[in-house]
Amino acid sequence: MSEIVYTLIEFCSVADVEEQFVFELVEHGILDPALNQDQWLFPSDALNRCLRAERMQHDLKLNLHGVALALELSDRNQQLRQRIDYLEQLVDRFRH
Amino acid sequence: MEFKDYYKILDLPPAATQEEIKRTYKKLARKYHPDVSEEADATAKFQEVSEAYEVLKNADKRAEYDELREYALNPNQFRGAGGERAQFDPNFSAENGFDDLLRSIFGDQGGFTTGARGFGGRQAGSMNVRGQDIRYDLAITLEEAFEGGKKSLRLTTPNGNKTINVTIPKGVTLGKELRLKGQGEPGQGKGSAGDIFLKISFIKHPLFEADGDDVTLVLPVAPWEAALGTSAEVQTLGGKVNLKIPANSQNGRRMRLKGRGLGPKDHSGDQFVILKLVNPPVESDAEKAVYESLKAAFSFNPRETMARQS
Repeated sequence: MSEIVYTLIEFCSVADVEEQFVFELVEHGILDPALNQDQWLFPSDALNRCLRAERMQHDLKLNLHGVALALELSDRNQQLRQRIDYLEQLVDRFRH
Repeated sequence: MEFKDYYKILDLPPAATQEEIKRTYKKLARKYHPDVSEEADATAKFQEVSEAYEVLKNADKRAEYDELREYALNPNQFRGAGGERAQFDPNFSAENGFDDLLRSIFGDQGGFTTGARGFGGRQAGSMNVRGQDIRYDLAITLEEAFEGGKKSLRLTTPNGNKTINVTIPKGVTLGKELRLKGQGEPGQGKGSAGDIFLKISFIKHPLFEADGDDVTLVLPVAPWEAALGTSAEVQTLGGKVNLKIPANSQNGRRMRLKGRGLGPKDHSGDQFVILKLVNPPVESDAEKAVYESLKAAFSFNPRETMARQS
């Protein structure tokens, strides 16, 4: 389930987006597909990222530079939050 | 539909300018957008704010809404268009008027709903609309994450209860999403069905804390074990192992058990063991005597570095 990868055509079909949009996402570094014999391969995580980008662009009227920045900051935020949770739990286990 | 005070939702006075409304909407949309927000009820809040803006951004609709609002807040004062309408139409109510207004803006659903995809409603032009994705949190134990395997789930969907079988990938980590293709809401027309996404979270474990691919275990040790060194039986997600604790270990010492963590490729993560020195309660005279002799044997000042810095 976690190992699914999509070619560009498959990706566009399951995400229900135009190829041009995917090109732009890759160009802005929002998606970073692996390259296999001149063919892009998208991991399944990319799907959620693509849909998030689409929603942000539409709902918040962001251009793709803004979407890229927002996604990056929000990912980093989430990583930090997880890290804080982990450290808090650890401190707790140390105290009791 | 119940009457909603859009000014309250946007936290603006009714006299706010169009420019203020726009600015506030943009700010709140960024705050509550489910893709960036960490607020608990972000989706509902975002929809509420978007609906308020859709109505208030248009001066005509806003004027109409303002009259309804006036009437809803003061139903006994027959003023404005709502009041006049009420005088001629005994069935008039602020709720009905509000319904009509919403219908004129959003169509038959009579209110702001999420569209086929975007939270803000990507209204499809054609009748072929892909079904909505459904998202759930899937709370599993660290053992389940470590082993992977099949799990049967009962989900409550808008179309009733549904039992699905999920394969949890071996070594799955916190926040990963599992996708069940085509198991979401059915599409309209030729639109394909949406997907179910299950986001992995961990049930609090009595011993381990997960940190990405790694797991950490806090291991209590006695002062003499830390001082003299020992071999201790330590739990890992894959069973017990013996861990050598070197002599002269300090509180907080961190040791690594390679390949005993989570991670997608054969548990690429590690288990970390952090030593926690636990002092035994000293009660009997014999126990006290041991500490007295320790005190005599060592010339040790635990606050030496502090003394040097002050």
